[in-house]
Amino acid sequence: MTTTEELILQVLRELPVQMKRDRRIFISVPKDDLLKTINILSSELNVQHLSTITARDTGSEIEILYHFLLKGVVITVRTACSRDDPTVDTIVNIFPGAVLYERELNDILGVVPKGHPDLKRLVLPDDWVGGYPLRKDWKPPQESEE
Amino acid sequence: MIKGLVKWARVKSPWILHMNCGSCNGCDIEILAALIPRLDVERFGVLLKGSPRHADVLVCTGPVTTQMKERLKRVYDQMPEPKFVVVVGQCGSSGGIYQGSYGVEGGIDTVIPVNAYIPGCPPRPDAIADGLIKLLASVDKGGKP
Amino acid sequence: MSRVKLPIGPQHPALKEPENFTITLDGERVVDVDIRIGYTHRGIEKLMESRTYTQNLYLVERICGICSYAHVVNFTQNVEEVLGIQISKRAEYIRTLFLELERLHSHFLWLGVAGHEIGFDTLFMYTWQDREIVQDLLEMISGNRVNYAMNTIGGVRRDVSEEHRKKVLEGMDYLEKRARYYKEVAINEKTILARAENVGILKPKDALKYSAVGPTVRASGITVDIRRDDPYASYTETPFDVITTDTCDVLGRVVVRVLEIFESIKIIRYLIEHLPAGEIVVKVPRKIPEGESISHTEAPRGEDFHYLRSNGTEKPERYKVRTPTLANLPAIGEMLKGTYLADVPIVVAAIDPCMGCMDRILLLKHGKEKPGEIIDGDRLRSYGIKWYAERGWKA
Repeated sequence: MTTTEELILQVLRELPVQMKRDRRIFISVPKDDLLKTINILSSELNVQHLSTITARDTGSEIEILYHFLLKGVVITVRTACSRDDPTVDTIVNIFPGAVLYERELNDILGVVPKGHPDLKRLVLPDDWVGGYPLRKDWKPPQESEE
Repeated sequence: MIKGLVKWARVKSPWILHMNCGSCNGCDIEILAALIPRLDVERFGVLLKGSPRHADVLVCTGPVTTQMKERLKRVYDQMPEPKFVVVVGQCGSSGGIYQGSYGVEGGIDTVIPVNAYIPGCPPRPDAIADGLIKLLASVDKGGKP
Repeated sequence: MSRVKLPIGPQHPALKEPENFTITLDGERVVDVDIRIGYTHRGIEKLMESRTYTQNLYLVERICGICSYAHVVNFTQNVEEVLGIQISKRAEYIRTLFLELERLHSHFLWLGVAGHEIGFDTLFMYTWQDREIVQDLLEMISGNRVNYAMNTIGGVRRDVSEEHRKKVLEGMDYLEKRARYYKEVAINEKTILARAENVGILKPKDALKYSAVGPTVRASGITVDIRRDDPYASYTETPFDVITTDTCDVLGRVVVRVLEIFESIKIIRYLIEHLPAGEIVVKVPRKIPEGESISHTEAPRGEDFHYLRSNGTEKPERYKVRTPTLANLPAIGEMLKGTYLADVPIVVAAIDPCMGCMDRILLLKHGKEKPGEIIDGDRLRSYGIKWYAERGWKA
C-alpha cells in the first residue's frame, strides 16, 4: 500500500471504507452525512480534484457516486436518495468543479442538488418534456407529428 | 445564357457550408483533411464558407440531435436556390450507430432533402472528395443530381 | 461603460435559440461567462444499457472522433477489471502505442486549428500535412484512419508486424524533425506570441478549484498526468516526462502540447524497440459478472473518466463517461474574464475542445431588447484577426 492510501485510510478510519484494489477507495454514507464527509476529504486530506459525479437508478433508489482524485488514488463517496424525494445537498461550495456535473444529474435523472446556484439544463433541450431518460422506468415520449 | 453562366460558375467553384449536426467529429476532421495540400479540393474551386446565404452546397455530418434539428432546417431555408445537400458519414445517412437513441432524430434526410450520401465511419478524405466531384459532375450534366 | 450580454451560440446568425456561452461584456472586455451545451448529446450512456458489451466497443469509440481510442481503452479496462483478467504484455504495449499515436495526431490537429483561429493558416496546412504521417501509421496497423477498432475485451485485435515497426520508427524520425520546427515557431514566432502570450490566464489555484484537466492545467504548473499518477497499459515501463510550464496562458498550452509531442515520440520508440513477444489476446469468460469498475486515462485533452456497473447480464447496468472537455468548461469562465472579445476564439480553442462544440460556439448578438447586429462564427474569428492587425500584428 502506498503512503497516500495509508493516509487516506487513516483519516477515514471512522467511516465505512472499502479498498477494492490498489488506488480505488470507496466510502458509503447516508446523504445527510455527504457534506460532512466531503469536508473531511477537502480539509484533512486536501483533496482538490473532483473527476465527476455518477448517478444510477437502482430501481428502489438513486445511487450517487462522487469520484475524487488524490495523487492517483480514486476516492469514491457513495450515497443515495429516494426516487420520491430525489434531492441531495450541492457540493459546489466546496468543489466549484461540481457545477456542471450536478446540472447533468438533474437533467437526466431528476436529482435536485439543493442550493445549486444555477440549475439549468445541461444536455437536454430547453423545451424537453420527455422526463428523465436515465431512469430505469423511463419511456420515450410519444411521437407527435408536426 | 445567364443561367448557363451561373451554373458554370457554380460547378467550377462550389461554395460549401459545413454543418455538424451532432457528430463525433470523425467525419468533420476528414472533411478538413480533404482540404489540406495532400488532397486539396480547393483545386476544384471548392471553398468553405461561413454563411448559408453564400453557400451552394451544404455538407452535413452527424445524426441530427434533438437540439440541432430546427437549426438544420433554418440553415437550409436560408440557402439560395439552387442548393445541394451532401451527407458525409453513416450517422448523417441513417442515424448510424446512434439509431434509437432519445437524443437523435435520425439521418439528415429526416429533416431536409439530401442529394448525395458519402458513406463511411468516417469516409476517407479521398472518398469525400470523390463524392463532391461526382455531385459537381452530375450538376454539370444538367440540373438535379 | 454599460454592460452588454452577448449570447455566443451554435451555428447560425439569424436564429434565436439556446446559446452555448452567454458572455457579458464591459466595453470590449469579457466580464462574465455562462455555459450551455448539449448540441452533440446523443444519449450514448442510455444507448449503452441496451447494447451488449461487444456492441458497445464500437459505440464507445465514437464518443469522439479525435480521442476515440482513449475511450475504448477505458471501456475494455473496465470490463477486464470486472472480469478479473490480465491482458498480455504485448497487448498492453500495442494499446499504449495507439494511445500515443492518437496523442500525436490530436496535438498536430490542435496546432493546426489553433493556427487557423489566429489567422495563421500556413500553420494549419503544415501541421495537418505532418499529421497525415500519423494517420498513415494508424491505418497501416489497424485498417482505419479514425475509429481503429483495435481493442477487444482481453486484448487487441490486430498485431504489429516487423514491417510496421520499421515504418513507425521512420515516421517518428520525420515527425521529430517537424516538431523541432514547431517548437521554434511556438517560442519565437511573433504572430503566435502576440495572440497567445498573457492571454487566457488560468492561475494554478483556479485550475485546481475548478477541477480542470490536461495540458490546460499543466500550462499552469500543475503536475497531473494520469499516465504517471495512476498508470495503466504500459506506462509503468515507458520512460517519459510530465510536461508543465508555468506561464498560465494560451502560449503555455501551445508549448505543453508541442513538448508532449516529443514525449510521445520517445514513448513510441521505446514501445517499438521493446515490444514483447506473446499473444495479443487472452481467453475471456463468456459471462461478465456483477461488479463495478473505474478506469481513467490521460487522453490528449486531459483526464477521460469512465465508470462501469455490471449486473451479470450481457449488457451494462450503467456506464458513465466524463470527457476531458467537460471538465474544463467551468475553468473557461475564469480564463475569459478580463480578456478582450477578440481573444475569445483562441482562449476557448486553447482547451482543445471537441471541434463540434467549437464550431458552434462563435456567434455574437448585440443589443438587449432589439436583435441588433449579428455576427457569425467565422466573422468573430475574422474580427479577432482584424482587431490585432489594427494594432500592428499580422499573421
